[in-house]
Amino acid sequence: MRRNTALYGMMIALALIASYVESLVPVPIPVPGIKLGLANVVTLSALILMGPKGALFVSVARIVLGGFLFGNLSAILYSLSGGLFSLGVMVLCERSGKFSIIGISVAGGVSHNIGQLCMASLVVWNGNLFYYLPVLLIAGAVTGVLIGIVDQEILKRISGKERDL
Amino acid sequence: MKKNDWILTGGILIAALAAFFLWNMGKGKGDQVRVTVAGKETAVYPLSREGSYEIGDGNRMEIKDNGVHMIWADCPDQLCVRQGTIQESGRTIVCLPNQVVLEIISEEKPVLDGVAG
Repeated sequence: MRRNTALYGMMIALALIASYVESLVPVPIPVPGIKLGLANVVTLSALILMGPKGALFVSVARIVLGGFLFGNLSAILYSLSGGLFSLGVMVLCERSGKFSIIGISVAGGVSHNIGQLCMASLVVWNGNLFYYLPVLLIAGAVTGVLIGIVDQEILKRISGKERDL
Repeated sequence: MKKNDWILTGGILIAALAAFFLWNMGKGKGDQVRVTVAGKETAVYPLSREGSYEIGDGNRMEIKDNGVHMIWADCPDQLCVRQGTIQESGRTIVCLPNQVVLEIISEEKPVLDGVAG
């Protein structure tokens, strides 16, 4: 990892920019937790190019730094619960070899929303929040497909180069 | 997209639809709204009692036409305000930053009358 300091720095910077751009985009559906998940483009690329450990590092650094820059402690709490669960599921999907980038991204988007919903239910101590589950599942699947397509195109263009680092 | 991707995405969408119908089964109109802050019930108002009520320092809700909506919140995202009016039992309005949950209920419970809030 020490050799890849520049790569890590660049990935974290990219992820932070994605988080920032995302925070500027208003959410059309007023359900807590719905978002585009732009930063997942970077997490997903990191997973493919740098492996699970690299993706974990980039993801946690992005969430903590982004939380302090554009959010607050509770935003970090929700992002971490969603982000870590999502990354875990994406790693499993990637390892299984059964899915393309788009499938991995869909699994990541949906599990991110599930993770956040569980954390939110715990925080407000109310299981009725699962009323939002259907909306969050659909939102996660739709954004997952979009983010997956974007990442597929990105990886197509840079593949082979970063992998050698 | 691989075949497995389609199966995964389709499965999730079907699960979402199933959950949607399951959640909405047998949900009638409620007659009370329960206010919960950080997991603690702070007040229950009948939906017939129109008016606006403060919830802590960060939220204000309004009961009108047998429904409840959040009319003000001190948080930046204003998601709870944008969630609109709820009427059916089981529906909720959530303000995550303030840990406030409004929940429509229908069973007969002793009404906590008074100035709670």
